[in-house]
Amino acid sequence: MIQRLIEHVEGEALLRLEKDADGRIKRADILFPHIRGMEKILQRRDALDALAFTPRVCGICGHAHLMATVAALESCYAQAGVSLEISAKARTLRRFTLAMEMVQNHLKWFYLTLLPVVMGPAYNRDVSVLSAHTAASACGRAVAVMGGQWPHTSYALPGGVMCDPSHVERLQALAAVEEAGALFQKRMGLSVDAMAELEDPALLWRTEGDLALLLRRLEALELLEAGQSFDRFLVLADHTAGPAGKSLKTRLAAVETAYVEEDEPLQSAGYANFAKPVRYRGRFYEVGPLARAMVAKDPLVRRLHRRYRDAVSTRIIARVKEAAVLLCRSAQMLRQIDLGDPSYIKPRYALRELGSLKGEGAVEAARGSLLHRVHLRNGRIARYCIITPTQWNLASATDEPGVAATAMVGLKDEKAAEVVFKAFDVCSVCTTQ
Amino acid sequence: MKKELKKEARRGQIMETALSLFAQKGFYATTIPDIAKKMDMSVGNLYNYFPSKEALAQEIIRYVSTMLGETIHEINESALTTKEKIRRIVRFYFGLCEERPELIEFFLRVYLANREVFHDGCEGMICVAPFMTEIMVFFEEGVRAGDLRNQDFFSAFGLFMGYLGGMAFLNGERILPKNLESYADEIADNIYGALKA
Amino acid sequence: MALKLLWLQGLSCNGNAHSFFNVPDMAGVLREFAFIYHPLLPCEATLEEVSGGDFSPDVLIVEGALRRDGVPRGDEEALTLITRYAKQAKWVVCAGQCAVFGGIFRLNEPDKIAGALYAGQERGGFLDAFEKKIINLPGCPVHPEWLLFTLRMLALGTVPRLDDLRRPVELYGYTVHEGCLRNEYFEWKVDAKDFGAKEGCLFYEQGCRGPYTRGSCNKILWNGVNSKTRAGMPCIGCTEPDFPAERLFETETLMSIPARLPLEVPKRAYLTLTGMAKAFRIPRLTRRKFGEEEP
Repeated sequence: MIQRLIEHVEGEALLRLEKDADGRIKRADILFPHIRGMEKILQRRDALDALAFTPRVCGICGHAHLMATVAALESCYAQAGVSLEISAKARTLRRFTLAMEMVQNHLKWFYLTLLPVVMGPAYNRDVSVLSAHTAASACGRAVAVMGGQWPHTSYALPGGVMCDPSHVERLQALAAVEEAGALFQKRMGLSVDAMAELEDPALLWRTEGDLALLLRRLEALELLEAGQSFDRFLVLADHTAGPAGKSLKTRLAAVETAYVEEDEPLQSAGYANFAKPVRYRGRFYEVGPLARAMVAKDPLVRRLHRRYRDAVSTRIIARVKEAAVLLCRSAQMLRQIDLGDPSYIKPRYALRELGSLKGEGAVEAARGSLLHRVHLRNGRIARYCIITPTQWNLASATDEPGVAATAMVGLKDEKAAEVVFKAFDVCSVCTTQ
Repeated sequence: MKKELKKEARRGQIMETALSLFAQKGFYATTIPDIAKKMDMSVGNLYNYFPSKEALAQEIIRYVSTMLGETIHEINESALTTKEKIRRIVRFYFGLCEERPELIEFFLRVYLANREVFHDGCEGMICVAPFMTEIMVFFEEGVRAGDLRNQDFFSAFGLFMGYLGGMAFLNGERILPKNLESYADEIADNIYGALKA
Repeated sequence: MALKLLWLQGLSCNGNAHSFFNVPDMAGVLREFAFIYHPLLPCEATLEEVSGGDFSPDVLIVEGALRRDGVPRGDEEALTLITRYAKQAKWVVCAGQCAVFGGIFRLNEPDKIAGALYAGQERGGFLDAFEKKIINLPGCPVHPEWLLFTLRMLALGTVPRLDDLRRPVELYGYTVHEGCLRNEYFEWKVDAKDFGAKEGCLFYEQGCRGPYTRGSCNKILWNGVNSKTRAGMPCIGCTEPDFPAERLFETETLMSIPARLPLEVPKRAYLTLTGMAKAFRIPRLTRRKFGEEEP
């Protein structure tokens, strides 16, 4: 058995790989050894305090946790029969800042996680770091213009958002979106608009830029078709670039969060693991940009899927394309906002006036579907449950390997395993909270 | 120096005189010549001390508020329980009604009844700030000590001061069968009972 | 010679690492400092090598709360690793609330999880032996420019002057309130009626802790452009030892009087001045900033 510590994945993960007689990977266990206990920490706290706590689950996708908390608390109102009015402006701002967090995530992942492992010695550290930095700081600035700071703002709450932007902020945010878009075009060789509309995969290989470089290198490593898994995709929430739903290969169907169930973490001798597997109607599903593109019937990703199924190449391109789509949509969203709309419409009741409540909020985060379930008693949190995208993609059950573990079976060596693993955009801190 | 002291004393005398006239006759029925006459000074000289009748009335309310504030400050700073502090405040207030009824009359019949006189210079609670500050400190510390129920300041303030003002009014109208001070402890208990945690 | 930095983590959300990645001048950072290890940046060594090796950093940067065991990093416990390098380093910079005081994650096991020198508001952390080397930069997360400032001072051979909690005074000598765009509303006691408006102060009802929280958030802006209080989000006091307090989004009041007053402001002074200020309704401060029309 081979053990390999995978670093730079928002913390670390341990891969335990078993090989068959030909040296191919027969079984892969993925272990996450830390837990911070956020669900327990939230117990007995005031419901609104969750707005400040859950973003601290994760330094790179904390904003999605904020949005999931808001959605969960708003659904508590719905359960109590109290209708909330959320202005179109507030909804758009929430989607905008969430989209910005996703873009910074995708581009950081591309430059800081994926390129180093795929390119090896051909990787130019400074160019990559500076590219990731330009994209991330522009996107972070866009969030900060509305939310005050990134990471770890809590500027959204049941009833709307806390900010009150004027044209000045709108233009500042727009400039940040454009800066990220310019970086994308400079490094990838395609404008975000061109990438968002692209349908023909062949063009990706022909365009000079970092993505083409990476794809050619994957081709040379014979990894384009590696990393296929269950070919089942799940999107729990409507999002900026498409609807909720599931896709079994290319067959679409509706989803209901009631079918989402957590299980106990896989036990592996001599090493702690806190990653709880999660299934939909008893089956593992992949979540994330590839799942979203499949459910949204994205023409480029569908064509890649026809050729490579749910392999690393499809997965990687879906994520890069999503960054471009989100940048395009973000600029549109900002232009459409009616600044005269109210930012916040106070709910008629405070949560503590409403007795015992159950709520649930699903959000599409950078890595996929994020689900928060909350049980309130007189405005205090009785139970809080967080199910993260990386649990879907990375956690195995004791009796069944999960999505990433399955994707690694049959690979020729641990280098290939690391590429396949990192292509999922691993987040150690989210997987265990 | 001596001259200044003398002038200050004279100001005080004018205020006392005006206070009793305002309290008896009301603000509008009292004129500057009335006050000057009672002071045995010329109208022109009186204007050297106060530029207008409004300014004089405002100065009086500041003076009353400062005096009330100083006493409540002493009560706040004492080691007494909240319940005992209420008793002290009530007794002090009722004592004042008996000993210096003109102060209370001025407050009720001039300050509260002629708000327009105080608009320019005594906006909001400015001229009664020393009194208000100490009353707020009293309430805040009562809650902090766990003795009083936490609630909106004005809900508590209205209950306390409205009650005392009402009793002072009944007393002034000679409606009360007993003397005011004999009600003090019972009223203090009522106030505490209504506000306690 | 570039200053050699080693960034190690205890129990963390990685938020300080990501926050630091927002420094305005990354090219300068790459030029001026040599990262032995950082959780995001490609570095000289892997965590496995750091854990097995001996790299003698100039500055050890600690992110995350500490616990005696149960937090493996590489082949050893995070605390063992951090302690070993704290011995070697000339300076230990605690980046963020968790490393300084234990932070939110301390609440999971308050008797087992702590920061470097503090367990919440009490003394007694896991790196007490290195007190004289420690510089504390609380905040959740740490402000990227506060950390960069500290590192650049150390690179110049100058230790920033520290207060009694070992925080650089030039960063923590301010309150978050200072520089907030809502200061005029505070001065005249015009409270924000609700969330979602650029007008009004958030101290009276929305729970803003800016007037008694130390940090230069409104001097050195976040992401170069803004701060939470400027945007409309109350300060939640994330640089303070008592973070996180209860009920962060409403002001605790005793008979309508804020239970906590601006730092070192006596109650009577506060009540007198606010009573005065409130009496004058300044028309400009009661209107919307850009008039009633849509901006």
